[in-house]
Amino acid sequence: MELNVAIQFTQEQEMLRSSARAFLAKEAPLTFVRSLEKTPAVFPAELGKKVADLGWPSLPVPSQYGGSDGSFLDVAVLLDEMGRALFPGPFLWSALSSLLLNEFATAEQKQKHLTSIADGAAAFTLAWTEQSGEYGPGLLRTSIAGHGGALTLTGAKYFVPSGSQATHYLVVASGPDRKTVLAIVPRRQPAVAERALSTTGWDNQAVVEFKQTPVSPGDLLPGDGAAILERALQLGAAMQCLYMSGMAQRALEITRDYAKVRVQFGRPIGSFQAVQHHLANMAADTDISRNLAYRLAERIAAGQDVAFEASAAKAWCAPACMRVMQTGHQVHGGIGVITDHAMQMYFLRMKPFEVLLGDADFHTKRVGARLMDLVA
Amino acid sequence: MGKLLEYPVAPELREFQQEVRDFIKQNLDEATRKERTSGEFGTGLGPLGRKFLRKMGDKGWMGLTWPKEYGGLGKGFMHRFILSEEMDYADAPSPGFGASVVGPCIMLFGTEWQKKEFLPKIAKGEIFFGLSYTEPEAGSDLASLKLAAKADGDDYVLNGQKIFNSETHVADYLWLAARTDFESPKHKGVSLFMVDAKAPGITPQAMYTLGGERTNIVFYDNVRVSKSHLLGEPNKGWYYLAAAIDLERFFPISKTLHRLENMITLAHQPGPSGRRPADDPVLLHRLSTLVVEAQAVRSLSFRMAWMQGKGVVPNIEASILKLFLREYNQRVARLGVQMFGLYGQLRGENGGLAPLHGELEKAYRASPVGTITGGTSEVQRNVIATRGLGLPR
Repeated sequence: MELNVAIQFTQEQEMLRSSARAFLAKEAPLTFVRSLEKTPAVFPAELGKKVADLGWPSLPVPSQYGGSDGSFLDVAVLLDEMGRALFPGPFLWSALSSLLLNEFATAEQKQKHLTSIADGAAAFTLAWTEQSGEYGPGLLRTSIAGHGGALTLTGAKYFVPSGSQATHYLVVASGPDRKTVLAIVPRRQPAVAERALSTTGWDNQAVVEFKQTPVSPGDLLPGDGAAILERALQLGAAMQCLYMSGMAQRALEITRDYAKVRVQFGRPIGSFQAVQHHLANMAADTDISRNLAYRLAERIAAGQDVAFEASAAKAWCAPACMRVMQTGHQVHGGIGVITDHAMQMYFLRMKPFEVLLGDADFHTKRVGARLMDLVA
Repeated sequence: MGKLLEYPVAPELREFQQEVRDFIKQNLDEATRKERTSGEFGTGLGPLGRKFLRKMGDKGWMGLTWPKEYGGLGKGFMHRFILSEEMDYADAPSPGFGASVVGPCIMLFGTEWQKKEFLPKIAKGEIFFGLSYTEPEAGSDLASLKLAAKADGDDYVLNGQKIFNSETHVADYLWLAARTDFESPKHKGVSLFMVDAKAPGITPQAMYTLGGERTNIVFYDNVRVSKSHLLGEPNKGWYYLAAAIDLERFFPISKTLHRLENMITLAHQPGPSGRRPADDPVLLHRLSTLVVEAQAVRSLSFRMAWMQGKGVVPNIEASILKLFLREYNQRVARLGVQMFGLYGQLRGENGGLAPLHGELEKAYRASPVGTITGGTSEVQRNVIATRGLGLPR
């Protein structure tokens, strides 16, 4: 039961959806997703190659840099499907980085990096939070020192998503002039050391240390770093909402299917009203999440301001999708908590999306700071 | 009207929106608004309300989406969405059930005579309908209704009792569901009638709700209604009803969002203590959560209009909106009084001492019924589970 999201998808978008669903079912089924639990830091290169051949990383990249000029709605469809399939790997973070590079980088930076993201040679991620674990304004300890052509980057970044899978980091640091700046830093070099964290969601968050890592001035994104981070929060929230609501949709379907066949007291448990109401609540939470995510995607695709909408969507979708997972567990009963069951995979993998780039409380506070704008 | 109520609408709809706003400015005076919110006249059928609705009829807005041959303007559902949201925001009298339920039902299932007799008058705002469905023993289980309609010559004779009929005392016609077959299964013995509300034998008896709204127990005692006033064919009423409800389900959200706007504004002004409620981080967080949820409500409401505009009938989508919106209304109503502490409990009779002259307090008192009328939240969940998810009954 995928309900209407009030968007007239193009034929290409419908095809993208169905081909993505088929590809993910064949090449990255849940057995594969689970197999990565042993080595979350490693994303199989051959699968990365297949994904690149499909053109997914090139979707958010303009054609002048080897991309396919996809709209944010195209990316949205893909993220929705990836969420359904629990597709792991750096795609979301690299796509977010591509969008940021495209909006803020210099022509030279775009030529160099967007082209290599588009052809699958590079995958970017955002190295923002530090030991404090916070996204809010505050002193960045990671800093770039020096002047002229000899800059160095020093500091430690925590909770870097896909931190061992990405080839490049967009590192948030305090620049030589103490202003916030983002630097493009390749991962594989002697002065960068990353350590994968073991997380609830079996994803690949890492602590990344930069020890006097050389940075050239040409690797710093121009402009106000704070504005880039603000945009990262907005686009990131939208992408996470799409992925999370895709997860919720599939978890709902799995739970519904189980409720139809699981017999207790001589009847399928799905015929009990108590269970039906659990599922109805899951359906409403899922449906509303999907609608908010696609409304937001539509606004982004149309180039409209989303400072308020993005935070409102994340503040709603994160707890709602988590409720779907928790209720799904309740309906499954004992079998859902066993580690080869799909239900617990969805439950666990929701966590990183809930907390990375600000949780619901963080985004609700952002909404709170804008309340008077709404009635002005 | 602030940003909370802005919708991504096309330019020609923006023009229409402005036209509606101008119309409201010119025609909705304070006395009419007061009459509407008094709760005495159902959907707004007091003397001033009727005057206002008649003017809407002159604009063609009562049958905005109806075909021109029936007195409508043939506009799309996005127009209807804009109109009802603007009217709801302004506390204007509602076009009522004639325009939303009876008219579309007659168009689909009525006889030629019924179409000619009723549709133009509804579209002009000349006649208004009240609903007459619920009975003391038939609430959520509406199909169990027992009010008897027995054929007698050219007429049916009605005997029985209805309850929670809020327009009987002010409507021109009643849209009545009655049992015409006592032998068949309960869904297959119901017929729909258009009954003159002033017909001899109809006695409405007032009951008042905690929110100050008048509703009625209605006694039907040997009421005669012509066979020509039975919609379509006998015993198909249940099917007609279901189809009509799906077609025209609209749940305006603007009144609630208007209330939320007022709460935001008041929260940023000093209260009796001299402090601004919004300076309390706990209160600010609660208020912000309601704003977050407002986005959810908006997206669901917009989708309804979008689907109807595409000719797709919202079904489960309508149930999800109804479920979420009415529970949300209660959360808004609750915080609307809670944010003012002891002052929150003051009724409007206290004048300026009550925040917003008691409007929030009144909304709070009126809020419990929202999750009950028009299909309880439990019924909506049943519908989502069985019709939407295909779970076994």
